Amino acid sequence: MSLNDVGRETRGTLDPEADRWRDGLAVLAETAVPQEDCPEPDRIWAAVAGELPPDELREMVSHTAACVVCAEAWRLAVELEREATEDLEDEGSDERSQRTVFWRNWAQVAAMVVVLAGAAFLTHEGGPFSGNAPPPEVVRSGAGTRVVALTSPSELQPRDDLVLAWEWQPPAPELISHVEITWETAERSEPIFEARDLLVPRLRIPPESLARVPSGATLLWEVTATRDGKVVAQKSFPLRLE
Amino acid sequence: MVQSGDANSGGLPTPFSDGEYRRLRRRLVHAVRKVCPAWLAAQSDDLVQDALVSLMRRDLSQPENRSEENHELSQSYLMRTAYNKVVDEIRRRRVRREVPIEDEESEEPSIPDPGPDPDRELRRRLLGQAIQSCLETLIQPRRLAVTLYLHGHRAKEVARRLGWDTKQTENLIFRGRQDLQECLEGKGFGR
Repeated sequence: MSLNDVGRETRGTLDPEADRWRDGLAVLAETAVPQEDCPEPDRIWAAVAGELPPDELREMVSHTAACVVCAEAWRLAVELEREATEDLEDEGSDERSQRTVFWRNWAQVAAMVVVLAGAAFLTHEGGPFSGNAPPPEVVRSGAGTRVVALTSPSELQPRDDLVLAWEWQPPAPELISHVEITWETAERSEPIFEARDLLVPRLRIPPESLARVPSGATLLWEVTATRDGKVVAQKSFPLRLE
Repeated sequence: MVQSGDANSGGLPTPFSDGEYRRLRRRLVHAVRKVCPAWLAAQSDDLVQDALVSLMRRDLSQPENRSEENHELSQSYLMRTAYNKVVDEIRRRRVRREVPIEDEESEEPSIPDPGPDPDRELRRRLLGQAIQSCLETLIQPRRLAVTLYLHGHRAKEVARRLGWDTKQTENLIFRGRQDLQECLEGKGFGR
């Protein structure tokens, strides 16, 4: 391992020797017993999250150099804290992708208008396909676990025609959706509407279920995707009601 | 609406909606599963319930506990709560050295599982002890840097937490790592 690799190091990629050392310490932790001076788990989390001043942090790191129980707890906190941070970063990229999706949707709407106009011409009375031909079946391919909202979180949504739409990335037409909508206030979260076993990633909310929600309120809609009865993705999105 | 003392709530002190309860519980199940080691998996339901109770006893209206955009409890906060419960339980069990019920009822004396390769297990343990011993010999800045590195932190993260310059930190990790390696080789743990 070179000095340049130190800055790029992530666990288990560039430094197999360090991984071997980590393994040796982890084995010791399996049978070690916590000491009376071990810091509380929440202090370890705070240290890992960067909430402690450097002096206090140094003290704790020195403790973990000698205490494999706390070292194990520290390593776990690092993994989880990093994961939670990456989730937040993912949410940021979701917003960026939503902006992309917005423009793509406009293109799709424009394309759909052209297609519908063509279809209307072909199927109008006297048109070449005015018989009882079945509508074309839309088939999407692929599998995935990320939910991306197509309904804008910032624009006011019409209460008499509130339509929630989302998509899977990558496309996964086999997923079944459950949607829960709650009315979020500073004090509480109140269920508004729930729909289960949706085969398409789109849902129109009956206006009557929104009757008690005041204008400008924030609703939270949560999509849970299942495959063969198992949850494979879940995500919540805010929206503002007009 | 779930009220205090309701069977679903586990005696939670404040009323809250069924929807919020279900959603919180689902997210906690997810968080506990991530934190919980396999040998503690049988207790994960209890840990979820404990985490849920302590979560609801805190003031959920605290803005720092909620993400800004959707006013939900932040993922980090839920993960932290789950982490605290699981680590507490791991420590409690290690102190008590609890034995599973089926082993207590067994007439045969319980013999610790030596694993598939006892020699290899022993070598791993001896290596762990040697690392601990060698870390003590490192000068403090290198010891701190290498310890955090072994805990899984990247150089930038070590620098930020200890208030050091990134380049300086990379150098400390590199030198400290070299010192550790030399010490281990001296104890018979070469590459």
